[in-house]
Amino acid sequence: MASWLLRLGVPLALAAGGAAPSLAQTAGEDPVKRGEYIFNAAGCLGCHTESKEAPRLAGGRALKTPFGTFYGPNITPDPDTGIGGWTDEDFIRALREGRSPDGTAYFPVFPYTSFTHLTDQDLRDLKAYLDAQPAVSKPNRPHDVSPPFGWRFLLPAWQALFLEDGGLPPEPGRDAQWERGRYLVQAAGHCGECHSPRNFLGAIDHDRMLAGSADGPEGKPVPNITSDPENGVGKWSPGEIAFLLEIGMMPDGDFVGGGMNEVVENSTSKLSAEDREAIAAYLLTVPPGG
Amino acid sequence: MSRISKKPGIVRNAVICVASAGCLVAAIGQAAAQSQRPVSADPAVVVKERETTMKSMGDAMKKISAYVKNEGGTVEGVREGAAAIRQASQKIAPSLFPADTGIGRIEDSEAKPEIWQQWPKFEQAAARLVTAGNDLSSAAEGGDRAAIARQFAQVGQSCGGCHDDFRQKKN
Repeated sequence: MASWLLRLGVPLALAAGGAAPSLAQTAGEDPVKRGEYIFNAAGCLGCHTESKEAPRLAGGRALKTPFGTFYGPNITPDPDTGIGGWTDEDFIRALREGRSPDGTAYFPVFPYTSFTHLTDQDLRDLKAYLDAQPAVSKPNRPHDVSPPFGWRFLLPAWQALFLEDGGLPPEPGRDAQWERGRYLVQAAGHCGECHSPRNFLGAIDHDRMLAGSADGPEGKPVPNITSDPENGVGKWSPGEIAFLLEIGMMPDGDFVGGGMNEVVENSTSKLSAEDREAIAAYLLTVPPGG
Repeated sequence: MSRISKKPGIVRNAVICVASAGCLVAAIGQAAAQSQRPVSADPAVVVKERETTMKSMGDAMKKISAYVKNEGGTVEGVREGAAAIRQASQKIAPSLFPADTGIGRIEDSEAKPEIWQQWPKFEQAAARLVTAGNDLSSAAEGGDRAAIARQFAQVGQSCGGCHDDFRQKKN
């Protein structure tokens, strides 16, 4: 399905994110504009803004997990409470290695296990975009995590075990659309963070990547989105998957909920039609797993 | 002097009478707007009716999307679908979600307890769908594809927004 929006020439409020039609790496000269696309693809807004009424990107959103409640931090350019003053290298280390500029390890609720696969260019563009947003002074709220998961000093060991950096490995026989889809799903969109089961240490079970989770955010089940024809999206057409990502409608006319509508609103509806099609093409090749 | 003083008394009583009647009418109006008129006293029947109603809206959205996506739908189908959504959406808050029909109360219910914990917010979400459904109907009457597409997306956002907060789908 070529985008029906484009065919109609209708910039829907939903889709009017100003997304460039081409891939982020080639979308124009302005790093802030390119970074905005990555920002949307990565859905940063959701966890880093407390509510629709709260100051944008100033943090505070609660995320309940089986390990405790985490509060998204302030990522505005405020020098005292946000990330103002960070160098590009600080920013890249944070997203790729899960470490703050002073070396402290982040809890993996911040999906650096996915973001570690983002390209240098995309990370620099993302920072350029964040630097261009209004600074808001709002101190971070401490996480409320039960021991031993709250023991930050254990995190380097966790990272040594579970953080696989170095970019997504090439797969022979795949085309550019598939690779783009994989990049959007695995790196930027970090879809597997909610749609995959985790082990008792909170690490994603790679053998069952995207095969759904009984215990997602807020302790609620999250569906299987692999190519499994019964439990996943294997029977869906690429157009049906792309349409869900664009407006949230499933093939039976039902609309997604459980947080996914927010993902559609903030993230996937703002991607280009080509990128939504790439995600669909990739998902339909993900082995059923679990 | 006493005759003069009575007049304001009558006026005052009349004013009080009118005002309190007005208040009473307003209060009844308020109560009617907020009171629930469940489709049945049997919660299981209510939940069944709720599922049928939601399904009817899903079918309507599917039909409308076929037109919007240029996959064989017609403007006539959009009109019918929009009418079905209007009719169904008006039933949601007043008659499809009485207390004790949520998750844990009724087997297979997907209605989160937040519906009753945050009832005004839920009513607002339902009202948003009623408005969006009305606007979709108007757009369907006009027959302008672009306007229909815009309103279709608005209805979709109303559905999804409410599902985000108030529905936990069974897996």
